[in-house]
Amino acid sequence: MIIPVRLPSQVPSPDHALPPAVASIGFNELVLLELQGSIEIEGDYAGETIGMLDMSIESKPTLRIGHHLLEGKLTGLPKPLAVLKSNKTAEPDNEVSFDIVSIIRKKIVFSKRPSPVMDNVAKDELQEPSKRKRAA
Amino acid sequence: MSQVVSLHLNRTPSDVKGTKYRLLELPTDFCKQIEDPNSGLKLCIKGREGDDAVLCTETKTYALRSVNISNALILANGASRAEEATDDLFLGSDIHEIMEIVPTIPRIARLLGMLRGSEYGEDEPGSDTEMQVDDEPTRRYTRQDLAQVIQASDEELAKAIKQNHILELDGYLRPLPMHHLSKILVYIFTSLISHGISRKDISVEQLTAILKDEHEVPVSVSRQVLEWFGDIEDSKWKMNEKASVQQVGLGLLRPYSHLKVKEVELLASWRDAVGDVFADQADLKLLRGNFLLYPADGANTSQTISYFPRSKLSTDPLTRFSELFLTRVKWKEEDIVAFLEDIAVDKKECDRLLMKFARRSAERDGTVYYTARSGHV
Repeated sequence: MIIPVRLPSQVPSPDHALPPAVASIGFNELVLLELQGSIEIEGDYAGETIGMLDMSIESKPTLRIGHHLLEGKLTGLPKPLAVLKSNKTAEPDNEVSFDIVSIIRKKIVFSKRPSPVMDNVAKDELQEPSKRKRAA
Repeated sequence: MSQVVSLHLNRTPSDVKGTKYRLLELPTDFCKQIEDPNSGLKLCIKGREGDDAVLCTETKTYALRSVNISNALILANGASRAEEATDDLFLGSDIHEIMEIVPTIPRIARLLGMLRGSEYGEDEPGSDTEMQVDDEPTRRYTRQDLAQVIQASDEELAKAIKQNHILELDGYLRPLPMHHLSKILVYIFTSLISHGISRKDISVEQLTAILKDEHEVPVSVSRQVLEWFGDIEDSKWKMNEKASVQQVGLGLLRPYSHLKVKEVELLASWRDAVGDVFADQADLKLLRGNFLLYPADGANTSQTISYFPRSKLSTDPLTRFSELFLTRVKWKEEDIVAFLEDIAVDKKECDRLLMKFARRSAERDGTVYYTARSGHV
């Protein structure tokens, strides 16, 4: 079996865009995060917000999930990583192909233990709505 | 714009399966080629179900190795372009495995196995009716059929087809048996002499015509043989003399896989077969990796030789070493290296194999010997 792999130049640009704060870290609209541990969700919360990634100090990105604050670091990868996405075409013979949709060179690593955050959530909520005018 | 990004779970969890990402670690220069839209690079993954997959460019083969990582890698993407730009990131599923690529020798061992039974026979061309009666309905393969299952790049496959002397007749691949091939080459050598053709000026047309008329070798076959053993340019054949002489030597040595033949006898018949002009090129060095030498003993007054081709040995290093040490308990370094060159990418790899699978010992006179490691054989 031969599975063709399409190169980045042959793959159409993605139809989603990265937020400006992380755009310089990603490539072709994908950004790589590394967590020690994993995010586990029970139940169906698709699309829900689970945390905030603060990139204001580039050397020290922070990730806040609930009352936990993770301090991270932006690192370059020793070797670039190609991101392969499988394409199951609709053709009847079930032909598979891969697209290299992105080449990743940097990642944001959160390898430290989370520290608890003591400030109250209500304060955030008071300030936030004015800042975040989201198109609803 | 805000420097704070809100992270979301993927919106369509059912979709996660469909858009699963795989991460492939690339050497930097390989990556440059991939990113260069003008490199003309073509990539594909090859293998039958159950094989370890390989990644092939048009010229090289790489083994794909999977590496597990304990941390979770998460690829996140932004919101769809159709919506307004937002500060949202959508997290993909955790990835705990990345793949690496390692250059590897093409896995062409399967090639000959698949073509077994479709060898080119001596009296089949020309008479179609006879062929249909004689030939059992064997499965024949085209080059495209083989490309589907042989884990090698196109260039390496083409090279392997040429090296293994496989004819392409009417689109189907047919190995040319060795005894047949040596016969054709000997015909070529004798034709050159009997027709007084200069070795520097050989007309393809004239030579193939002679082979057809005097030795009944079809032009479709002889032309391919000429291509294997030289280059055809401007309807002239530039003979690869070394390779042709070598092949004749192999043909002569081949019957002696169980018996032994005196080295001097073999060399004499070899020189005889290639004719005076080429006789000085017949040298045992050409047969490296295809023979074993036995020193003179009580029964034989001179050094004897037997056919022992490395191409018949396993390509798996462990099995290869078992086979070698079953054949001979103790190997001189230069002797055993000749039987490893085809499974090792380079000298370093060869040394690594010897370190891993054999025990090294040096005699007082400085000769290095290798014996089996207990436990491996």
